[in-house]
Amino acid sequence: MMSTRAAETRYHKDFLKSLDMVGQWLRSRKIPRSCLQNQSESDDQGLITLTGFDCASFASLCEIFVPIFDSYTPFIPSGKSCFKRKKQKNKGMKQKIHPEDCLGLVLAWTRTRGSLLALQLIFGMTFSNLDDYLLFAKRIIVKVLRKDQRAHVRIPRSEKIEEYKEMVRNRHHSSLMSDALWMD
Amino acid sequence: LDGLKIALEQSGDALIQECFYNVWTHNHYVSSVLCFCPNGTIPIAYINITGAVHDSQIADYGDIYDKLEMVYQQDGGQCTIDSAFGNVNREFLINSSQELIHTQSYRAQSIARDATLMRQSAEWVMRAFQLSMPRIKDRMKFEERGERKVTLTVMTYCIIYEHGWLG
Repeated sequence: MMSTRAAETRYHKDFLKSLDMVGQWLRSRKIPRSCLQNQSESDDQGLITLTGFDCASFASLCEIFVPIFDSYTPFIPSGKSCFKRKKQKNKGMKQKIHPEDCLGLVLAWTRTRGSLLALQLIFGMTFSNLDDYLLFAKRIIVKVLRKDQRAHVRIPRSEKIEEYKEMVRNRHHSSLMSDALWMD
Repeated sequence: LDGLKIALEQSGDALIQECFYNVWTHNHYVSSVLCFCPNGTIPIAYINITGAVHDSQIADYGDIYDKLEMVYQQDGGQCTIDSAFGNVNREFLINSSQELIHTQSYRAQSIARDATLMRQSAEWVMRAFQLSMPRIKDRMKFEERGERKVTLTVMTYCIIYEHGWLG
């Protein structure tokens, strides 16, 4: 009997073979040398490997993330909400990282497992500082995505449902499945 | 509809620990139920429920059945379910239980086979969900300062945002 690991590898290979060259390149889970040596160069492959987002979607997320990041601070007394008080200009501790780094940090956190050691090495931060910014970034991302239409969990419109029904009809020819729309 | 169980640390308080303990798998979880469209997007989700609650009950508490019924009445869409929701007999749900494949009726067999195929693709979407966010497979810390909810929301929103953007 085939082990789960072996089955996963087989399915992964089949999936990769079904993609075109660009698709395979993006999902190869590698960070290319150009990305490491020239950090200003935008590279989809490296960013997808680290954060799960390509450059365009990362930039769009960054647009809504930056204003909140710049308005508040993670350095607040313990037990208080970081959105309780707005940051005043030219006052308080200076932010040690850029908003892009902070967003990258929280997205990279979702892509790793275990301790934050790997993130400390990637972002060059001490544990306490990284932990503060990670918590801050998590709260910001929840705050901004709750208001964003693109992240809403909602039932699709009737036209979209018709489109899904057509997809199912094309794939499954059983007569009673003609109206089946969603899956387990 | 598919259930997602995320492992959680054990609480020191016996009453709280009991809420998160799943007797079937002998572990502590936070459960969620997600519904997928054929293109992999998530139209209905109910997250952050204690692990002792069954998936079918979660779907009931989260009004998922009501929402599916509303879609069925408005647009005629149906949903395939697995054996976890086997005891729920409603016209907008198609059961993909293995037992149905061995029935005598050719029509029932055909439907059950198609339902199983559809449900299988939902398993792949769930797998993709877990692969794109490996942190979800890690054991979550037990905290009662809203950390769990924030973490789950970050993951769900990020996935939906990503799907929405790419779609």
